[in-house]
Amino acid sequence: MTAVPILSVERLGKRFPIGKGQSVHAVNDVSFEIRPGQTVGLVGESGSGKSTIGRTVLRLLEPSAGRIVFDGQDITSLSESGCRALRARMQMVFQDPWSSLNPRHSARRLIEEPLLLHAKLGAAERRARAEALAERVHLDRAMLDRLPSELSGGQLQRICVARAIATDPKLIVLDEPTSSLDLSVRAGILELLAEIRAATGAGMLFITHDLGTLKLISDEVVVLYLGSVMERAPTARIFEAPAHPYTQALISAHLSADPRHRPERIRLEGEIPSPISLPPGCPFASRCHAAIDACRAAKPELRPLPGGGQAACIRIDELNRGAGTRA
Amino acid sequence: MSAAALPPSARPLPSRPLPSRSLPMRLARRVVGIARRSPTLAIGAGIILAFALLAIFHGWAMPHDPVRAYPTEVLKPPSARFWFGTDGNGMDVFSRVIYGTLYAFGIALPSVAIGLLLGVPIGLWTGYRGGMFDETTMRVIDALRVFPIIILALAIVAATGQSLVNVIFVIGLIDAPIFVRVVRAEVLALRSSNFVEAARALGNPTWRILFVHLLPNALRGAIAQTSVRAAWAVRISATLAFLGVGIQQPTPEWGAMIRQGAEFIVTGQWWVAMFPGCALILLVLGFNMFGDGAQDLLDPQRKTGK
Repeated sequence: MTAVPILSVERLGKRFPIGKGQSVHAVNDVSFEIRPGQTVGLVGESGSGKSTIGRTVLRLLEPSAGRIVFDGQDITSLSESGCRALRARMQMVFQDPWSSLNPRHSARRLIEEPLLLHAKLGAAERRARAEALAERVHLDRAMLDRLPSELSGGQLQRICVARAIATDPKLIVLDEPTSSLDLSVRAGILELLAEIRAATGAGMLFITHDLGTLKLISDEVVVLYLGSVMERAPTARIFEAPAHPYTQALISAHLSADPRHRPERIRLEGEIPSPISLPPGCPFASRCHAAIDACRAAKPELRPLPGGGQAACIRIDELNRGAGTRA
Repeated sequence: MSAAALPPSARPLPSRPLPSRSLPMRLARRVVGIARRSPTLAIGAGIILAFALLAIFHGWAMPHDPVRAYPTEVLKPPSARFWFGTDGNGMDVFSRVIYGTLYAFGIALPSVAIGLLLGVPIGLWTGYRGGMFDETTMRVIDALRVFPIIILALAIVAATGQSLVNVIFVIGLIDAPIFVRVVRAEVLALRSSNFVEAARALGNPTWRILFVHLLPNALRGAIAQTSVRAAWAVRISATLAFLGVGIQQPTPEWGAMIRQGAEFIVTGQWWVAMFPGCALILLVLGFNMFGDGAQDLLDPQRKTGK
């Protein structure tokens, strides 16, 4: 665990201007790092900025603030062509496999594309590599000459994964790779991703709103709320002893498969603040059951937790003093 | 048969004929399928094909030299020797109408090609890039639209000189903004779609995103427009010739022929203007029907429940 991080993100911010001098604050002061072979899960509700973070760290979107260091290189303000050279080492899998593949290209052509762009290979060798990749993602060779419209969602997502691993990247961003798939197919893709992580040692940023998926695949979880990090901790700790009130609410909403182990459901009330004019204090204060006046005064910084990880809550110590009895 | 005696559920499924592997057969099957789905397209294609054949085999189809004058046969009505009669110079109208198809295609095809070559890349680029370049381009195009097209065409041809090549370029130039618009509209719809972003994430350079990923998916509107623009090119080139700019007598071009024939209509020699006029109408109709049919076939939104 002492390896140099493959990606480190420091105080990343992203604003989308919407005119009249106003802007949507999609991502605020987000920091995390991913080491080789590690999977970090980004979890949050829709609109929490998790996809924006994924796109910004790959420089598909321009960061508004902060620093992104990839593979030892500061890529925060790298030019478009500079980024292009890096893309062989950092890849992405998108949420919706139906729309993220060119509808006019065959599976073979889609898988060969990253090789065509980044590897100097002859046509025959490229073809062989594409077939080997198809095998690695368990895609039947007979499917290679089909168009996306002739394939199922699971098969398409396998093509996307094959494209993403074609150039042996060091970082793969997975933007809800399983949430548009059927449950039965979902398990297959997750197994495939675990296999690939074991085989390649690539760092992964796994974006999802589904905690159950993260429990299976991630080493560390970053919990986002309105573009800010609420809690950041090893996966086991997050599920066993969620520290932040928001994480607790998220975990309680996640239905466990074990009927004897159903924690009391925490219901969130109150309004989500507008990301256009964020409140000065804790963004979660308006819905937090433990909020006090001090919470609305200043935005809490991440502070270390005794069991490992960090949480952004000023009352974290007093709230978790009785944590042992809660679980 | 024995299968018919079984209850419907037990009957073997009708075996689908294996798709024929021979190229001519598959092609024929496809053509019939398309014709059934859009009779408009089929009729248009038939008319265009007929004129194209006339243009290709004009040497064969013309009974007379189209620019040979028979001084003793001036303004003769249609007869067995001169099927469509003769014009004011004593030239055979039938042969001239056939030769005119060469001019019609010779102007329509290259001018539409110029329009496509100019318009499609500009449309791709403005749609993809957006911002100031897009704004400027679209405002320039809007400004051009303020002029009535025919006046604009007249002015440019009059200023640049009356040659066939100039007419072709002017028509192509006027067509280009239309292709810019249709391609831009499709690119705008595609730009935010995931596969374009995925192509960028994969490391595609901009030219590859434009020409490999966007172009093939953005050509639907332009393809349908191509035929409509060809119809317009035939019409506008004839109009220019009729108005006396562009192609001149005694070139066997339909517009020029109609211009000459118009003088004789009052004196009863209707055939000089009518036959090239009919040819013009028919070819324009053919191109338009083909374009409409293609638009219907290519646009899933326009499919009505038939």
